Amino acid sequence: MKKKNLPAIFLFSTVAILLIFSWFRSGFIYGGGDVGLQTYNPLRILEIARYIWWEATAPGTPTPQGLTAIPFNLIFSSLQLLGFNPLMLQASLFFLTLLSMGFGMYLLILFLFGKDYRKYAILGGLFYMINPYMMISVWHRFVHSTFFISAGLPFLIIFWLKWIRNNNPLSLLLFLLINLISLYGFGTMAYILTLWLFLFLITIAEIIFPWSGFKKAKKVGIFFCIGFLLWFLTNIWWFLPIFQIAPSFLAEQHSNEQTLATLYTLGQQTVLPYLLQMVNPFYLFSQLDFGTGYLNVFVRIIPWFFVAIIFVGLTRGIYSATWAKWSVIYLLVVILSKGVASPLGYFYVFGMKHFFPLGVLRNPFEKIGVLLPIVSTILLIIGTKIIFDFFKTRINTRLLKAASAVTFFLILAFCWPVFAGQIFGRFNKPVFVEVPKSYEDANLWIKADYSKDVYTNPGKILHLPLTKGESITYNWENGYSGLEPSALLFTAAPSISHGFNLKQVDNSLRALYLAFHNPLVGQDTILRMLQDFNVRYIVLHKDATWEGGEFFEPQQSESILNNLAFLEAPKRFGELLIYKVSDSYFKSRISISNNFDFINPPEEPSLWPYLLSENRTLITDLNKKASDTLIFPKESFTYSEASPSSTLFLINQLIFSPNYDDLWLNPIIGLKKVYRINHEIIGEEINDKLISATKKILKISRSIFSENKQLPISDLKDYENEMKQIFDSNSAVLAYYAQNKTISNIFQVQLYILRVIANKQSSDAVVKIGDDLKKSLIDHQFISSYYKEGQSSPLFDKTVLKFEIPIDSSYELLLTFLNAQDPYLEKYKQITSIIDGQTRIFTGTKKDYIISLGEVFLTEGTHEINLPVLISDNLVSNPTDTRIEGVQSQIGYLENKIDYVAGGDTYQISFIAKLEKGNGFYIQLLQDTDTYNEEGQASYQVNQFINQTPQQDWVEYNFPLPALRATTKSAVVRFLLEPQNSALIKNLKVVRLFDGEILLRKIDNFQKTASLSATVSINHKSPVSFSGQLHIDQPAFLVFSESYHPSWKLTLSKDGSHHLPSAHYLANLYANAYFVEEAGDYNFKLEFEPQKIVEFGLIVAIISYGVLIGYSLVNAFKRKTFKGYEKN
Amino acid sequence: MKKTKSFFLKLFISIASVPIFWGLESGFSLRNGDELLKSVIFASSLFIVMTERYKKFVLWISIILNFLMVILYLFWQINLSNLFGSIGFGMLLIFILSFIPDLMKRGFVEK
Repeated sequence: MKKKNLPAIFLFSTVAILLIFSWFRSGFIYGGGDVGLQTYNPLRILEIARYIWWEATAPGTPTPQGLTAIPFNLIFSSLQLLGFNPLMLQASLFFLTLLSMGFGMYLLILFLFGKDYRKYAILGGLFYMINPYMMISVWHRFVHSTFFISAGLPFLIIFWLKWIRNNNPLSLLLFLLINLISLYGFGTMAYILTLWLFLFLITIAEIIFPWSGFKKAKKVGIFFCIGFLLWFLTNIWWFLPIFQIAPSFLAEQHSNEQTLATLYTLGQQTVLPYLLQMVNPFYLFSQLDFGTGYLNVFVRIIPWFFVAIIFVGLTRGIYSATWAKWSVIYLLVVILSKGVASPLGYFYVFGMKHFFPLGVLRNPFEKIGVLLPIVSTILLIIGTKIIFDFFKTRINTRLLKAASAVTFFLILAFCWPVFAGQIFGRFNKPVFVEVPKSYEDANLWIKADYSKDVYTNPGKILHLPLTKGESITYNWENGYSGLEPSALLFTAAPSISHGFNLKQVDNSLRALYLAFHNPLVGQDTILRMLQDFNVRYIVLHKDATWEGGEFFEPQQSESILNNLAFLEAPKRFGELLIYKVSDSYFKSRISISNNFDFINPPEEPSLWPYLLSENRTLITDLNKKASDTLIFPKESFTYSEASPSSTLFLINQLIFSPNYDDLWLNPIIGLKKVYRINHEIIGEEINDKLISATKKILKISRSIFSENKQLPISDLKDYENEMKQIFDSNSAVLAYYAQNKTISNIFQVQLYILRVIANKQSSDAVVKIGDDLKKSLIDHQFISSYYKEGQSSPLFDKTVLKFEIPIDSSYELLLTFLNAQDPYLEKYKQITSIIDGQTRIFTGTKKDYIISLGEVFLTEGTHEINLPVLISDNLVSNPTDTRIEGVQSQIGYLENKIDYVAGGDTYQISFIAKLEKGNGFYIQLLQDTDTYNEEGQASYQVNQFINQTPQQDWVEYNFPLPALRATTKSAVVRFLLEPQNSALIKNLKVVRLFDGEILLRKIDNFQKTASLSATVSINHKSPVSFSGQLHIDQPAFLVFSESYHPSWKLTLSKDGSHHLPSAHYLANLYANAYFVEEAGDYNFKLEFEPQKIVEFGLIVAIISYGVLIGYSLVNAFKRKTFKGYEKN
Repeated sequence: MKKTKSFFLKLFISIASVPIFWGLESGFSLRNGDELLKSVIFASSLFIVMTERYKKFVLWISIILNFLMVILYLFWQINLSNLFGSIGFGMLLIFILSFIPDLMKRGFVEK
């Protein structure tokens, strides 16, 4: 450390210490949000993250990006072992981050501009530490990877530039070591791209500003490649596993449409007026997380001081050789950080539409924007220097210094919450966390009780209530809302405590959760599910906030748990109740079964597969070779089939009244606005194409039938192309906001028109277009496979189900019901159905919660069954036609109670309305689980304003309502009018939509199996490695109760020979199963193979570091010798 | 003759840049209606910066537009502020990038 830098490091340390004292003066740690309790227990995180299979977040998930947390947690776990408590750990992290930010930027400015800039470098360091971006997007957002990346960036830039300029391997080594310390930052994968994008930009700037010929360009290019290669090799141990697993993982978490919608939504927040000041308006102005003070015009003007100085640097800097390149780099960083916002932002949309991995940058302000403080600080320093130099010969130096100081402190003062310690959470409600002591006690109790089973009989802890997503709210003393932390707090055994945003695992966990809240589910089923999920302990969190959310009352779960005979009496620790599954009922992580049902699981399985297969293991053959016992439909949708006469009447109206087009297409024309508000650009494009294509076919039919012209071939081609484009893209987005039957109806009219044109013109081309369209409509689930235009169907509104039948057999058609008080079960005593185009009437018989419609013989292959859309009668108690009026200053309203309500139900509402006065009305869905915020606003699930004018006649409305909250017991539909408005409401109807399963069960084909004699002994070596012995007296399935992943490999050894089972099955809808074909005694090994890549990568990284260190030493020695030689 | 040729070449480049700016601005769609207007303004700016004598006009207009952005922002006229700001910043971008040849030649711009 150079002596001249000591005052700077002292200053930055002092500022950082003062800030830390301010932030932690209350004595609590901060936590929650999407980070949870990251610094609470580094030892535990290290224990979890060193393996890419995270067993602790049961039932297990591959989390290769967790590897990036190892260096940081390794350092901090040492501090933890030295006695640092969670508060000291968090304070230490924040202190080091602040210090690195300030001192790093100080050194960067000195490096870029020289020793003469020392005072400016101090200003730069302070500005980099405390600016709106750091306040809002780094500290307030509380994403720890951003802390690391913003603290590490200045150092990384310094050593990279040194490497590029001087080619000293020591600089590259230091670059790689800083990178290693900041590795946590790459837990957000986008930051890999951000770092290399910036390094690329500054390297290009080195080459071309000024251009010194190809020789220099080649040299810099080669050193760039060497640097990149060594970075790649030293990071390969975490890099490769991420890129092997993450793309499919990401694709499952985010669709292309979601990514683009996010990009557009965020693009609105990063418009230039906000971006240039580096503020995120969502937190600062919309949520007012930092208080209302920021709405004041005199406060809002402050950031423009530094923006003005930056602009001076930007426009005047180009006249200096030292500064010029930073103007260009700043402009490029701004353009990249603002995302789709104007100007010139469309390249993001284009890139993400055509290259899915770019989706990691869907929030450019956060992902690329982390570079903004760097470039802004550099230009601020350039601008300050230019202004200072300009004025120093013109005005008194003291006055100038005073003015500069005032301006600078004003700029820092804009970030007053940083000084006041009000940056985490809302300004008046910091996200303090104090984990109740009872959690530690509960964990210690489980640890002591479980210690003998850890290696030989591993089990899991089930936490109730089980959240579907990743977040939970606890009513601890200071509250807690954020990432569910049980895996961190319960170190004794893996915790099943939250969802993963992965459909397959989340669905099976949901089924597990439902088992504890539906009295229809018997004890046997609950036990079976606990065994299938390898549950040893159940922790009931009575401190979870359940009101208004997705949870059931913990008290309800408690009464169910207390009555389960296979659970031992609960232990109480504060608000926690711990139940243990008795030894005789506990089922091991690895088990053997020859009593099974093959099942073709539904898209979103619930409890039904468990209930229907009684007590057998559920096995799914992912290669679809096995013959299923329980068959769920592979496709299911509803639509309405209009009668030929009404379709013909409609077509006549459309052809002979051209103005009727817009009226008829109004439901989808009106959606343009909705698509736009929600930034669904792909949806909007396809919707536009559907409108345009429909108008084209109507125009064609008009020219033929009304104007008696010849078939316009070019128009027909255009129409065909447009329809092709609709079906080549994701046509399902058409039904995001419109009802499937509305869209289907438009297509059916098109089909009918094509048939009529084909008949009149005897055109094979039109016949072909019609056939192609019909095929597309069948493939994209808009019509039944047996749809015949111009023919009446016995079913008007129909549910179409397509089953893949594996073997010729008789099957029982079943309907399932969770809601015992369904008011319309009587309707199913006789049901008209269509099976493969043939009408058949079924007679239903009800048994418990299942209705059996009867048997049907089906041959191997695809079969289609159509059933009527299953809806209840009108459930509104008193649907009288009425007039609502808001008299004087009073609002007008009408409330209608919905009968037979049960949590999770979905309803469809329809009514007609005429507005007498005003511009519309609200329709609201009130539930007994609605909550109210501090301002008294209710959290209605539906609170929709419907635009209507008094000029309009009666308007018909018909739309589905979202599913009620799980815990809702009563609900009301309310119409609400502003004062002095009035409206007439008629024909109100609320019907419940069927939300059970429709499936087939094979008859007379249950596995008749001999009783199995099997034993398994387990050695649980690590989360990625199990071994043991196995004895079976007949072929059977080995079931491994961890989440299914194709990389879990089973190796069986018998008599000295090894073999891998040929097929890998899905067990119990989430786990792994392998079929062991021969009886006998085996040694087995179960390994998660990608872990070997980590081990291989670590060897590569160590060798690479070794080579670089060796080369650096040789190089240093040579330089020293060369200098000595020169001296002599 | 040479001047005329140069003028028409610059005019051609500017006109040809309209669809490029439009594509970069909105992917050739007219969602809000101002995309084409911005593209024409950017193309005009490109034409002006190619004319050394009037180059500074682009900078001054850009500064004025950015100043208007600040004023409108302070009065919560975010949409208008963004409109002026994005045009101003786009012009500034064109202005500074027009010096790339100079920067490549000398590493800075001669006053």
